[in-house]
Amino acid sequence: MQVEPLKLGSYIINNRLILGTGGAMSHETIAESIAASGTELVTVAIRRIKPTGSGQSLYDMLRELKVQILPNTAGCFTAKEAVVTAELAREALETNVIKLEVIADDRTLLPQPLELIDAAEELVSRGFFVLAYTNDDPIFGRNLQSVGVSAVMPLGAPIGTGLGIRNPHNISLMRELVTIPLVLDAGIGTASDAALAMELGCDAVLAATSITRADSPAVMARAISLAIEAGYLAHRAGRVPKRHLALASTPDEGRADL
Amino acid sequence: MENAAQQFSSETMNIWVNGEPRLISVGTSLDGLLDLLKLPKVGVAAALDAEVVHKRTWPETILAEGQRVEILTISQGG
Repeated sequence: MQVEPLKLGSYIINNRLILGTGGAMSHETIAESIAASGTELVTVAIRRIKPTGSGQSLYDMLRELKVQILPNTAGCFTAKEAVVTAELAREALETNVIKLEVIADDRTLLPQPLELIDAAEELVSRGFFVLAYTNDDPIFGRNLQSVGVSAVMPLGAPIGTGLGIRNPHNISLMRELVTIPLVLDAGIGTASDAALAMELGCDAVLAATSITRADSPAVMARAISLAIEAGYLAHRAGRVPKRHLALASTPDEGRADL
Repeated sequence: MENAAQQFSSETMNIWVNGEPRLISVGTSLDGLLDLLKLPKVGVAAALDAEVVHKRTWPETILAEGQRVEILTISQGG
């Protein structure tokens, strides 16, 4: 069984890892992580330009590496800010795809659902493919789908915590209620968290901190990429039901009378 | 001297670029500002007083005294 291509808005990816570039020590670290994992899609923020001097800009490097660039609205607290940021991203990158983040405060970085849904609705009406970062609320995920987003991206735990998937049951329920792509975003700490996300039925995983701030980012990028593929296959393989008591795997037949 | 000073002030003006004050010539376009600052135009977007200005209109967008220009690009994030 092969991993099937996944459509996210107008992007198509063959590798189910989306690499977040936040927290990387250098552009070289990002390039090494891209190469090690095989990711085809990386997220970036929109910020004031600074003269790069003689060094290569992040934009030029990502273009050279031929990865698709997914801009986000990181740092936006209101729908208004997020919509203008998405328009700026569209202008800078000539893409209609936006990862929508509208957060409530700096301490938790948790999504602000009221502003988020307003921004999602407005951006969809302006022709954007919206990939919406959200809390792990299955009903709200369905609400986002109903306003026309292209993917729902629930958190496993708050951004940067590396706490893994705190409520696997919610992710599992979201998988049942949301019929568009579901991407686990935020909270991944290590490879097994990514495998679990895929086993729960997510279509892809976004990992940033867990890779960029690992001691060896490229090695962790490879580990998480492999875990995602393992989880993808496991989800489709049809796992055995959990049982209370043991079930022998070796038949009794032919057993010696000792 | 007074005339010269007046003439000087009529030819330059103050604007804000990414939060910093900057003196530029009257009549400078948004496109001209990027040239002046030696900034790339690919992978870049601009807003004037919090409104996005589409790249194709940069050459004809003439800046005015006191305007707030934001010039943005991608950076690590997310």
